[in-house]
This record gives sequence, structure tokens and C-alpha cells, in this order.
Amino acid sequence: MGETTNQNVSSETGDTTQPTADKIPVKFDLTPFLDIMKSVGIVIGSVGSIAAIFLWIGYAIIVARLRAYNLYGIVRYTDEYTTEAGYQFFQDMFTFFQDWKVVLLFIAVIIAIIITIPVGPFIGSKINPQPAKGIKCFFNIFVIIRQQGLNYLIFSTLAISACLVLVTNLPAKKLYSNIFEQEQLLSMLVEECKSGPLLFAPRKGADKKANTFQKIFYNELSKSEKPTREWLAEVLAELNPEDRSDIRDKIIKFQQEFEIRESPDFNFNGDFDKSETYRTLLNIRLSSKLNVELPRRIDKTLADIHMLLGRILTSEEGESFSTLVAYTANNRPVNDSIQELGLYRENVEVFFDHKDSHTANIIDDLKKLRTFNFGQFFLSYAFWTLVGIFIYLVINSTRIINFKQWELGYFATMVLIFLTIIVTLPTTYGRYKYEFKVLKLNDIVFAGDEKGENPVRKKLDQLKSRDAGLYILGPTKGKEVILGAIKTTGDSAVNTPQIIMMDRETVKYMNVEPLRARDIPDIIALFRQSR
Amino acid sequence: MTLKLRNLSVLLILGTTILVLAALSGTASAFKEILPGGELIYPGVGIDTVRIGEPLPSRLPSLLEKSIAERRIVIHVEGSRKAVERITILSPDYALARSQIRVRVNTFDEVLRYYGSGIVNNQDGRQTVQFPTEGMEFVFSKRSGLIEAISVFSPLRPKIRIQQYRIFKDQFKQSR
Repeated sequence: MGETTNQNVSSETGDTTQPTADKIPVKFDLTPFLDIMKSVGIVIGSVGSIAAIFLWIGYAIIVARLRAYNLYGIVRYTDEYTTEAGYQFFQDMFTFFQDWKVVLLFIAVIIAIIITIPVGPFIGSKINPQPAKGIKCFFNIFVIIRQQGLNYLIFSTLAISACLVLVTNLPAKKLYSNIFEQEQLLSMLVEECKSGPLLFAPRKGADKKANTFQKIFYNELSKSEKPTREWLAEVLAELNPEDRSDIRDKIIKFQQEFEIRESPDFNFNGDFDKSETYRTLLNIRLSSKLNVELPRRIDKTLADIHMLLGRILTSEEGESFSTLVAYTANNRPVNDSIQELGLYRENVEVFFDHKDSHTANIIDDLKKLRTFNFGQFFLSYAFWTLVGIFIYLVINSTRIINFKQWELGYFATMVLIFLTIIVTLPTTYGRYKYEFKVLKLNDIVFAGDEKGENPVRKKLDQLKSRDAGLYILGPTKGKEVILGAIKTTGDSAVNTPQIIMMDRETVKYMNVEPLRARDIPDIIALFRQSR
Repeated sequence: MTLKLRNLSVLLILGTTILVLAALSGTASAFKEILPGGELIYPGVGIDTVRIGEPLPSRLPSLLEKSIAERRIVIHVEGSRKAVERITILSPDYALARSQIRVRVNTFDEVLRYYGSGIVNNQDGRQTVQFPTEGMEFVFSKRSGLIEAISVFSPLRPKIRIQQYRIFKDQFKQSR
């Protein structure tokens, strides 16, 4: 910022002499007052602009989501709800910081903005800084960047790249490829699990390292393994199904194979619980359980991804990737499933060791599984760059009068980039990240409808009699919007979603409940059906 | 330097104009429709709302409840754990994930073409094809040649032999 020089200010400080100033005595110097007014103007203007931007973001998010559901022009949301969308946007921008990689990205972007933000007019300098070493040399680079005007180039690169990220739909494409990567990884894991058994051996001292939740996992796993005579017979039979000998012989054989020096005669009055035979058999039994349970959970997670992908995998109608990623709520059941699988894998690893390479490979591959998060890096990058451009525009807006032609062009370019990002960022967020609060309607009582003759009530009863799910679309403006949806197949007339709009004053009360995550994809499919 | 930057600003303005147009056209683009799908069947896993090895959900979708009541779906629950053991689908409303194979729609040949060879059985005037490692079984009608029922169950997993445990016997003997 050191290259800036204001001609007016420098003339007052006496650097240049103006002949008229000597001749006309100045009674009141208004310059400090004007400076204060200018600063106040900048502050008020900035605050006003931030407020306007905040409102704009809320509206842009809602409009983008309404358009995605084909409800634009039908449903209008209250101003409070629109403002909430803005709050949610800002909250998410800061919630992304839970990921340390986003924090690093934020630091890098902010440092780049601080170092390169142009403060016009550009003057430049041909004076080379003194040769220096260490940290001073580092600062000299920044001085050179600013003196040579390279900061204009770097800053515009930042702005254009943020703009490109949004207009090319890069976050959506990334999410799309990520979903298929996870699907392929899980498909591969399912096949690997079929190719051989998974062998887990107990880990020594695991109980001391395990936290409360991990201990709950172990207790659940071993809950049904009670040290009874029946259990012993069952485990030994499972271990060697071909062996038809007497249970005592089986115990002796087992003890010999595992070099256990214990009596094979147990009274099951507490002696078996403490025996090495029980401990070894329990560990084998749990290992055998995991050999079934872990692949089952992998199968389940893959099934959940296939549920998300629905017909897209087999569709012959050329479904575009956008249908897959347009609705974040669709990803939630899959993300839950992936997280559960990840937690299960972690719990297994606390208590069990994987000795063979086959099991180790499967565990390593499981570690590569990732939940689907929509573009938190891209959105953060675009948002913080937008903040940088906004600051550039605020700082330079009072100085453009002194700009040369090329710098005016640069300023105009930044205005255009700012407009592009301010349009596309909330649109992208609204389209891919934001979700309406849809609630399931259980019951509704209309004012003065003791006889049940309200026409809307009749319509709702009619829908209910056809097994329709009824949903309300949150705080809509003036009217209450109810979505009625019948999933019964075979009757095309009732498959069409019904959108009922009614005056809110007519409703006495409503009984609603939140939607379960697994119900959301169905509702979204119904919204889409109305297109 | 000034001249270069001036040229650069012209390029930037042109580029940005194109970007703005591209952005606006992107905003107007509509997504393609997702086809509404019925519930899917996942071999070895279950159906969308009911999973093998897990307890039966306390609340079921109305369509599924109706199907169970009309015995178009039969769910076998294991006694002690109350976990779902086997699901048999007799209704064409449900399709197998990926293959989209359905009851009363697809044939024996179509099943073998998609899933490869299974264990074929002919008993009581019925033909069955089992895929134990996938966790599914098809029952075919001999008269029409179409699928009569699809069953899904827990797939058969490769078993660990006692010799494999014995290699790590010291570890298996220790307490956690």
C-alpha cells in the first residue's frame, strides 16, 4: 500500500507550492473536515453495502432452491426465513473451519489478499530495495511485487480463479466424481471380502486405551456370548463342524491345539468364565463375528450409495450428473452410513489387530472412505476472495478520480467480477447446499370447522385415505403450502404431487414432526416430479 | 509496464464479460428430472427400508406395510435377536438394484445373463437359482418361465479355519 500518493494531500503538506495559495489568505481550512466526512462516508457506505449484500445472499439462496424444486413463483417465503438463509450461509462459511485444511486455505487466501490488494493510483518505483537476507529479503519481495505492479496481476488472478470455480460448476463436478469414487471403492471392497475371510486377533491392553463409546461397542459385540455349556458346545461345533466327537474330547483337542494347560471338565459355576479356554474361544468367536459383520456393513453402505444413485446407474436416458448432486439432503443417509462404517472400523481397530495382508488391505481401503461434502474448499475460496474484492472496491472507490485509464479499466473489471461472484456464490450455495425445512403434517384443525366441512379438510382427508404423505414447506408468506404425495404405484392419477395453498388464518393448529433423513430423498423426488 | 497493464485490463474486461454471460446462462439451466423409483432390492442387504441383520423398523412406509399385509412381501425375523433374516419379494413393485430385475417381469435367462451361473434346483415343480455368496435366490414359475419370487438373505462368507486362528494362538489366549 506504500505506493499510494494523493496529490491534494501532498500539496497541503508543502511538498509542492501553488502560487494562488500564497496570495489568497485561507481563513477556514475545510480539508480535515472533508477527510473526516470521506471516512464517515466510507464507513456508512461499507456497512450499508454489507447489509445489502447480506439480504441479497438470503434472497439469492431461496430463489435458487425454489427454482431447483420448480416452486419459483408458486411459493414465497417470509422475510425472516430469507434472512435466516443468509445467516445459515455465513454460519456455514465459518463452520467449514472445523476442517483444518479449510483453515489453511483461508490463511493463504487472506495473506495473498493483504499482500496484493491494489490501492490506487498506481505509481510504481524504480528504486531497488537494499539487498537483504532472511526475513528482510522476504519483505523485499513484497515491495518489489508492489513496485512493479505485479500485485494487480496476482490479485486479478485470485479474483478470476474464484469466478471460474463458480461459473464452471466445479464443486458440483467434484462431488459427482467423489460419489462415484466411493461407489467404486466400496464395490471393490465387497468383492475383496468375498475373496477370503477377515482375520482379527485381539489387541493386548485395548481396554485401557478404549474410550467409553468404544467399550460400548465391545460390550455390544460380546453381549450374547455367555459362558454357558450350550455356548461352549455351539462354538466348538462352529469351529470344527466335521468333528462329531463328544464335547469333552472336543475341549481336549482344542486345548491341545492352542496349548492351554487346563482341565477340560468345567462345572460352569464361575470356573469357565475365568478359564483360558473361555477367553480363547470368546476371542475366536468375536473374530468370527467380525468376519461376518464388517462385510455386512460394507454391503449396507454400498447399498445406500446405490439407493442414492437410484436409477442413474442403469438409466438409458442420459441422466446428467447434476441430478445426482443437486440435493444435498439426498446425500445425508449415505454420509451417515459412511460415518457409521468408519466408526465401526475405528472401534474394531481399537480392540483387534489384523494380522494377514488380506484383512490389512481391506482395513486400509476402508480408511480411504470419505463422506460427501459439497465444495467447502471452493465455497470458502470464493467467499474470502469476494471479501477481498469488496475491500478493494471500498478502498479504491474514493480514489478512482485519480486513476489512469488502465487502472479505471481494472477497477471496472473488479466490479464485474464482484457482481459475478455475488450472483453465482449464493446461487451455487442455494442450489447444492441449502435445504428447506420440510415438515411432515400429522394433523390439522381448522378454525370453526367443528363439522369437518372445510373444503381443504375434505381434500386432505381424501389424500390421506389414499395413503398420501402430507408435508408443509416451512414459513411461507401469507399462505400455508401443503404438499400431498401419494406413492402408490399403478394409479397414475394419484401419483402426481398435489400442492395445496390455503390462508393461514383458517388454521387453528397443526401437528407436525421433523422428517427423517431417509424420507427426504422421497420428498425431493416428488418435488422433482412436479416439474 | 503501464502499457502492458492497460492491455491486460482490456483482456480482463472482455474475459469477465464472457464469464458473467456464462454465469447467467448457468443460473438459467434446469436440471434433468429424476425418475421416481419404487423401492429397490439389494442382494444380501435387504430393501430400502428393511435391512438383513437389523431389527425391523418400528415405523414402516405405508406402501411396505400394505405389501406385507397383502403378503406381496414376506419378512422372516429371527427369534432371539429379532433381526431380519430373510426377505421374500413376490411383488413387481420392487426391482433389484442395478439390474432392475423384477418379479413377473424377467426370465430365468435374463437372471443368468446378469448374475452369471448360480446353484440351480428343480423341486416341487419349481425351479430355483441360488447365489449364496451374493445373498439372493430366485424362484421361477415353470409355466410362464418368469420370476415368481426373489429372496434376499445374509450372504455366505468365507469361513476362517481353526488352523488360521492357531497361527496367532498366543494373541487369542490373551485378555483385552
